[in-house]
Amino acid sequence: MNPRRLFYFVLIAVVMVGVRLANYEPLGRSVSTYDTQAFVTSSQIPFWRKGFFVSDRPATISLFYKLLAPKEGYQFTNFSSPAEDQQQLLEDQASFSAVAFAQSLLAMSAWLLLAFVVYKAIRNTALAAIATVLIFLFAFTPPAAEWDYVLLSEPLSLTLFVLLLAISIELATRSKSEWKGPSRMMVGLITVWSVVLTIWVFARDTNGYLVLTFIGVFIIFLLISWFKRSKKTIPRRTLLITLVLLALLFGLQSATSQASGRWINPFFNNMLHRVFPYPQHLAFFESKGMPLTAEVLALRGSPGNEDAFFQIDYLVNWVKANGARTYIEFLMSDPGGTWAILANGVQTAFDENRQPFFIANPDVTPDGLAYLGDLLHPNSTSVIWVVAVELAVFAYVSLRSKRADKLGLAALLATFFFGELLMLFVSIEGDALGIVRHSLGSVMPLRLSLWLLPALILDSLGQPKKKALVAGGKIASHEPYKTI
Amino acid sequence: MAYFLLLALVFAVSFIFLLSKSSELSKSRAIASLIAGFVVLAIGLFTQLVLGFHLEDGSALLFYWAREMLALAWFGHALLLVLFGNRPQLRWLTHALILGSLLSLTLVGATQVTRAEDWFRLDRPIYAQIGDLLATNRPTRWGAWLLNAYGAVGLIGGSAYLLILRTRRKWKGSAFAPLLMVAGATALLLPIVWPPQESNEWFYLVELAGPLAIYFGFAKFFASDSPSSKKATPKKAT
Repeated sequence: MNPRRLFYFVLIAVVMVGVRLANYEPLGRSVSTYDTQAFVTSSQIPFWRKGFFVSDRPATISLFYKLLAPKEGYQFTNFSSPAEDQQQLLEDQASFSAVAFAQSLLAMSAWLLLAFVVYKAIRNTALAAIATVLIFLFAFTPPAAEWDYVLLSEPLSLTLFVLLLAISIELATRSKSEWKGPSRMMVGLITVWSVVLTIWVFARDTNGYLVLTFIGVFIIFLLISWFKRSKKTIPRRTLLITLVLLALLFGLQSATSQASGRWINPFFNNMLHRVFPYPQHLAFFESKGMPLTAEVLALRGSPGNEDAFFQIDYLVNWVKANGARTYIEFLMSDPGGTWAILANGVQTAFDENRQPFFIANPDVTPDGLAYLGDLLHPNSTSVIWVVAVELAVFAYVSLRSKRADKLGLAALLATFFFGELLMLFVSIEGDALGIVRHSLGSVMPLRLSLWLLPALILDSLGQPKKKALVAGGKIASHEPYKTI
Repeated sequence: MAYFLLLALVFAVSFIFLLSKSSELSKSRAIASLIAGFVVLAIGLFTQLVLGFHLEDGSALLFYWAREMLALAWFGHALLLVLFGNRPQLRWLTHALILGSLLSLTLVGATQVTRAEDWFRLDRPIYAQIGDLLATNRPTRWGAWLLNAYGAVGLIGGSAYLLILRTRRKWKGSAFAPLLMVAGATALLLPIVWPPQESNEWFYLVELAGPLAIYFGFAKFFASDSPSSKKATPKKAT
């Protein structure tokens, strides 16, 4: 990158980081939730024990809390529970300062990296600058930036996703020759990508489903290399090894998640909201042997997150043995109902774009920034369709350009898009409660794609040829246009 | 779906930069005219977004000047320049349009903004409210009509002329080019002629479609092959 181009990026980055620091509360302030307590408890299990990986909360977040734990332990002084109308202002929770500070710092660094990688990938400097400004605005408006202050798994998971996306874009836009004889830089990038992917997968249970999409794409690559037998395709052995490693990662994540029992509470939420109110659904679970005794059905009026279910041993034993499988069978037995749940859930997932855990200070964060945030993080499900159209156009212009980097980028962004949709599906069907928060990991990347793709599309349109118009038998205009 | 306005603004600004990178910019008054069109359109979109946040006098005046008066006129003029750029009348028209743009800025600048806070709604399209918001005088309104009529005639008439040339095989470009330009002209003209009363999906789609159709219409047109250039291409040795 030439120095002038780099200077423009640094200028944009400095201004935008300034905007981030000046318009929000000081880094390190935070708000705790019920889940924070669970992270703290999980973080107290020794790392080398199996229990650490199958605890009540995902391993990455527990490890993060373990690494940053103060000597005197965590003390809760600012607790929020929006469901119980307990919404707080941000405060300095001394023992959580390191966690909150690290969350903000990591998030800013990840967004900076993504902005730089995208800036580098776009040839036209003006378009690159527009894309960079959009990425920073997306990241530093309240719907994204406020999460840095909430002590939950979402902030770290989103940060890791941004890192993963940045490294993936960097890898996808590397030239063919760099892939063929991997340089040290490439080996380093692939290693970092693998580490970030692994850490991210263990940050939230639904993240693993993106790996499933990667597996699907690598199977397609393998089939192509099998039938094409061309030297231009990626070597079959490399593809097979990658496929096996990805399958192992997905299998390990699924196995630890299943063994942890973290899915049991969402299972009961689904029972309360999607099964108990409907006799035919109840009959389905009864036919599968679920012990729907009077004691169990007495809880059918509960709003959710019901601890009393866990006191009924025979029910918990049945759920542990058959719950997940039976619920999947239930979803498959009623495609119409599953689709209706999904359609309603997608609507709900897009309904809100701000964190509900603390009240933003209007003296610090101006309303204009929130308004801009609403524009960049739309509350409309149309985002999915618009991104799908943008992706289709990007794929089309990339195919026409025949440039390997653009094709790689189009394939990568399409893979992420389908992975995000799969994650959204699992988030919605997996838990009847907390859909907005649970879907954040897929909804925010979808919203981000909306602003990433226009510059990539326009940049791929490339340099047109010299053309002329013959009007009335004479050449009326014969100026060459290189950019339009 | 207010984000469509921001998306349209992102595209409009991107088009300005893409067009300004043209290596033949100094020779091309048409490209300059097209850039002017996208600049005023971008101002219109930006002020529209500002007016969706709060009522601000300067933004209301700028919106009227850029979007309601000038955008279509400059796009129409760009097409006329491409088609008949060598004619001296067009040079005079360019001067007239520049003068008209400056004069209209003076007229709009002198317009009073009514104290409309009582009934102004942020969630309603500005097109439906701008008439009551600004106490425009007759020359300003007539100027707006004249400029829009010129732009519409330029774009729609120019596109029709291109289609006629195509049917007579004097121009071998894609029919999509003039059709896209007509679509763009329609999208730009619709909210001015029939101001949308509510911010629904159609309103936002039309706002996004305008700049896209205009740009890609021109792009398709510039990318068209000419019979003369084909003749000049030497045959490959077999």
